[in-house]
Amino acid sequence: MAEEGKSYISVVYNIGLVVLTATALGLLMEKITDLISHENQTPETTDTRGKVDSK
Amino acid sequence: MLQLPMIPDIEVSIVLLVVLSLTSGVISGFVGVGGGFIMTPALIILGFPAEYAVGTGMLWVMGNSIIGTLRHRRLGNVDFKLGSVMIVFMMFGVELGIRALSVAINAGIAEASVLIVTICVLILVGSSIFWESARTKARLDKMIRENNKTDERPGISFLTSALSRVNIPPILSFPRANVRISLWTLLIIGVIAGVLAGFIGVGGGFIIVPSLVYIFGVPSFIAVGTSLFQIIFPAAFGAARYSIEGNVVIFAAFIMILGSSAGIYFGSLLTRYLRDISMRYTLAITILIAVMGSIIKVITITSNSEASWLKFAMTVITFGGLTLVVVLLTGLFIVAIRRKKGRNIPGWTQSLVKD
Repeated sequence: MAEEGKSYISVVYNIGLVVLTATALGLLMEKITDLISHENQTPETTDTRGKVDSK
Repeated sequence: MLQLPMIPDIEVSIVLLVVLSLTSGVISGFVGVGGGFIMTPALIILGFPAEYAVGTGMLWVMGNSIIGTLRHRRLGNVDFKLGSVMIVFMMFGVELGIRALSVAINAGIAEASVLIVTICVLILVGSSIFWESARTKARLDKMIRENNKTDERPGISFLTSALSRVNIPPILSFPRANVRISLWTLLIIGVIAGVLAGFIGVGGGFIIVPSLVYIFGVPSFIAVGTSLFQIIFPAAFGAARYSIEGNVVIFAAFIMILGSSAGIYFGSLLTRYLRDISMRYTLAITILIAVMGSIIKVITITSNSEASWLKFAMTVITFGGLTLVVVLLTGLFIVAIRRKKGRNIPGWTQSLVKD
C-alpha cells in the first residue's frame, strides 16, 4: 500500500515538474519574442492557410 | 560524466546529453515531432537501459511538446480541434503499445525488440518522405527555372489517394487546417501512431506529421503545430505509466528539457523562413540518421560485441548527424535572410527558402 502511494507521488512529481518547467520556459520564450518583435516591428505569423487557399 | 541517481552503475556524458537535447529541440520545433524517435535510441546509445530510455524519453517529449505548442500557437500553426480528436484515438493505442512492451520486458527481449521495431518503422516512413521530397524538389526547381508559379504540395501516392477517398460518415470538418476527414481514417491513424508511441517510447509525431500532410492534405506547418499539441497527451500518459514502474530518470529529463528549449525556439523560428519542402527533407534525413544509429546498436546487441569502434560509430552517426542537420538548417536560415535582403543565393537553395 505504502509502495503504491510512493509510486503515485513520483508520477505527480515527475509530470508536475516537467509541465511547470516546460510551461514556464514556453511563456518566457513568448515574452522574449514579444520584446524582440516589438523592437523590430515585424509581423509574428507563419500562417500558411492563405497560401493554401489561394492554391 | 553524470552519475544517474536511479541507475547507479551507469554514467552518462552530460555534454552529449545537452548536445542531443539542443539539436533535437531545433528539429522538433521545425518539423513538429516530439523527438522521441531520436531520443530513445540515442539514450540507449548513451548507456540507458531500454525501459529507462523509453520512460525518460517520453517525459522529455511531453515537456518538449508543451514548449513547442506554446510557440506554434503563437505562430497560428495549431488546429486544436483536429489535435483533440486524434488525442482520444492515440491514447487508446498508447495503452496497447505499453502492454506490448511489458510483455517484451518479461520475455527479456525489450532492448532488441524496441530497436528492431523502431528501425523497421523509421526506414519505411523516412525513405518514403525522402523519396517524395526529392521528387517535389526536382519539380520545384524546374518550376523556378521556367519562372512558373511554385506549387510545393507533395505528390500523391496510391495509398494516399485511397485513404483520402475514404468518405465513410461521420466526416469531420477542420476549418483551421482547411480539411474534411472521415472519423474512421482518423481512428486508424491515431491508434497506429499511439501503439508505436507506447511501444518504442515516442510521441508518435513522425507518424502523425506525414499522415496529416500526405493523407489528409493539411498544410505542413499546421501539421507541425497540431502534431506537437497532440503529442503532449499520449506522452504524458506514457510518462505517467513509466513513472509508476520507476523507469523515469527525472534529473536527466530535466536537463534535457532545459537544453531543448532554446533549440525549439530556433526551430519554430525557421518555419517563418524555410519552405514546407525543407521541413519534409529535414524530417526524412533525421529519421534516417536515427535508423543508422539504431542499426549499429542492434548489431552490438545481437553479436554481443563490445567493440569500441561500434560504440564510436554509433555516437558519431547519431550525434554528428543531428549536429550536421542543425548546421545545414542554420545555413539555410542565413540564405533565407540574404534572400529577404535581395542578395544572390545559390540556385539549389531557391526551392528550399521562402521568398
